[in-house]
Amino acid sequence: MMSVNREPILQVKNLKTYFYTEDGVVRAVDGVSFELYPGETLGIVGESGSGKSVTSLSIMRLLDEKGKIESGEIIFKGRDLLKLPEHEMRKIRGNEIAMIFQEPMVALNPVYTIGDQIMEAIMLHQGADEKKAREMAVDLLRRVGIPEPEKRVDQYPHQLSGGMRQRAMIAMALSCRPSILIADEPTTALDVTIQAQILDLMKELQEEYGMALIMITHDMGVIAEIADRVAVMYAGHIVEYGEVHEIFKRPRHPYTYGLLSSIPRLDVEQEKLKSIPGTVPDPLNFPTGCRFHPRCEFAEDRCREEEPEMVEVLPDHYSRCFFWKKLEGLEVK
Amino acid sequence: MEKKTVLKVENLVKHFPIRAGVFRRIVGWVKAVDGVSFEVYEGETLGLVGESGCGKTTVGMTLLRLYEPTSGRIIVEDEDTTYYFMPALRARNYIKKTYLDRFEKLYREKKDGALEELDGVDKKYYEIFLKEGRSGLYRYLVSNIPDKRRSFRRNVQIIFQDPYSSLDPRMRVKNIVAEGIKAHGLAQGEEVIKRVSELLTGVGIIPEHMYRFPHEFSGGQRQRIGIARALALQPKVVIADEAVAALDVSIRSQIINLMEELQERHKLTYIFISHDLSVVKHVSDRIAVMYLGKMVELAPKKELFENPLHPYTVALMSAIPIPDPNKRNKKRIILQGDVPSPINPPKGCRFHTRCPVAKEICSEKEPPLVEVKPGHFVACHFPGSLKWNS
Repeated sequence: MMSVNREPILQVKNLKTYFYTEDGVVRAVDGVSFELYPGETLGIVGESGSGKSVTSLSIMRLLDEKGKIESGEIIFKGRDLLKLPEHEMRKIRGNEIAMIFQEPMVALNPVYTIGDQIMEAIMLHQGADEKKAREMAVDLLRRVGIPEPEKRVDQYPHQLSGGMRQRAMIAMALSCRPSILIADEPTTALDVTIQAQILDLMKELQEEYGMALIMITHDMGVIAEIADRVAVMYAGHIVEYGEVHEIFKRPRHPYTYGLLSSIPRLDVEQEKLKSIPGTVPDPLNFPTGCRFHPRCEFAEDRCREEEPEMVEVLPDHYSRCFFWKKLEGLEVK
Repeated sequence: MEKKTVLKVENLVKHFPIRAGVFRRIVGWVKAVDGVSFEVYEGETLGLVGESGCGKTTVGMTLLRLYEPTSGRIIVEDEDTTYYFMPALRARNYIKKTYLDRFEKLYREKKDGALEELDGVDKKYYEIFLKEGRSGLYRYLVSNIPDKRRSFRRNVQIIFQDPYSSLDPRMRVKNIVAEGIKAHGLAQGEEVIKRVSELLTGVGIIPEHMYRFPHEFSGGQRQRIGIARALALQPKVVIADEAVAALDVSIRSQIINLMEELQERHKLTYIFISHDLSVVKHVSDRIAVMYLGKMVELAPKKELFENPLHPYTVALMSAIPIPDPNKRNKKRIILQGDVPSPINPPKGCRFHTRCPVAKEICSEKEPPLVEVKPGHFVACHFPGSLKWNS
């Protein structure tokens, strides 16, 4: 997909989100920039603590009181979301930018029926009356593949299975035909056969509604399945950013390379798994210089002292590494 | 070469009662595991794979005797261990029914000739029965139950999924690892410290850290500690229940590699329980696929992936996202609907409600697990009828 010549629908520029905890400042997101183009899927992949979820919550301005957006811009349709007053933001949240979460049982309100929760969004943002909203809710439930939607619309979240709940969440998110859908680990809590159903459904709906999708996950398989472009996050930074085939075929950041080589594969025979030594760094105490250097097999003295900038290593393929050239010729099987 | 069986499970059943009302009456049963049989060979890794609710964890817990099996036999190294943890009366009834009465009937009918049709523990126990009579066999089976329990506990160990809740937060790592060593009297005093150091070094934890508490370690390190604890008693069989599921991708491969190294070094036998077929494929020699309390397919790894016969196995393989965007447009088999409830499993084949190739017979008759090729077992009326090209 050639997305280069089009106007991005969302631009995140140098976003910094810090959390002020009792133990110190957590620099959860520390200078993240990316663009999202209409209709495309951007995958954000990273391990726990990499800042991928905080990035999405910052876009939605849904941080708790400890979290603070320090600096940066989030430009959506020409407006900086970070400068909007809350009542303006409410018109965008759930309406133009919608979000689905990992655990639908937590995200859904247990004391309201599925129907009530979908209708709330429709009535709030589209000004539909109750009868009309209910009809739309039933239609949406049918569209996301929930059997007997007329009956399900009056049921409570606990009466639905995990897969069904996630479908209901998607229905709710789509109720206002958002132009951006942010999905934060939407299939992580689900079984693989259900995951396959949900991923399929999301692809289908994205095409139908023409919305852009930000898919946040730790699963490289899901990224390969659904993303057009990928941002790999590590310790609050995007360390590599580019088109999905590029990233998987020619990773130019040692972390991406290590990650891709350490996954057990169903489709390839592997002798011993490559592994990234060490542990994910403590967000209260990120290493100096390149934050990946203590675990990096290519690290040199410079990496310990100086923080690398994002460089364009190939057209539209960026890496935050001084020595990305060392990865040339290395290909992931 | 003949493979040595270390663990044999026959017709294992575990049903949990559902209680309701003021008098906590039993109103139904969750049929978590409903007739599962398999063998585990010395030094191999048997992968147990399936989705949530298939009973894979219950199998593990029942093998460990953290749950008492509803019925079935669990044989470890040519001894029936099923009755070890039963209350005395129940154990007596079990022995009477399973061996004494049965052998007496066999003897009346066939005398010594019955030996030929028996194998494994049955044969061993029948020989004792012939030599020492009914009461001799009974004495053999019930003598030293506490010792038998202890040796069972030593031989079968577990690594849990969640490295956060499986280590006591108020115990120092040294005591966590040493607890079993002391309980089994394997070492005393200075020896214990030495043993713990060795174990920790073996799993990549600096021995000087043994005086720390679990919260001072990361998730991956805690899992290493959990592994050290499991290995402390030099077990024959280690059950790993989703041992890498809670770990980050970059840490997961470290632990998988560690477990493989340790297996080689200590000649361990693993039962590796996981929902993740990619991980199971990497670590296992043989793989058993479970669905709703039943084993639907069991085969050596290579055979299973080259020639999957059960429609559920095929669907499971096709559902896993492959980390290669070039393979994204492969046709996948998408199963409809959810896994049915184990309280009221479907009649006939339990998979028929979601099976793309089910026929009438599938909803009526339950297919038995049969060996279609040496070592390849499948429970399906129409094995191989669902095809999928990766």
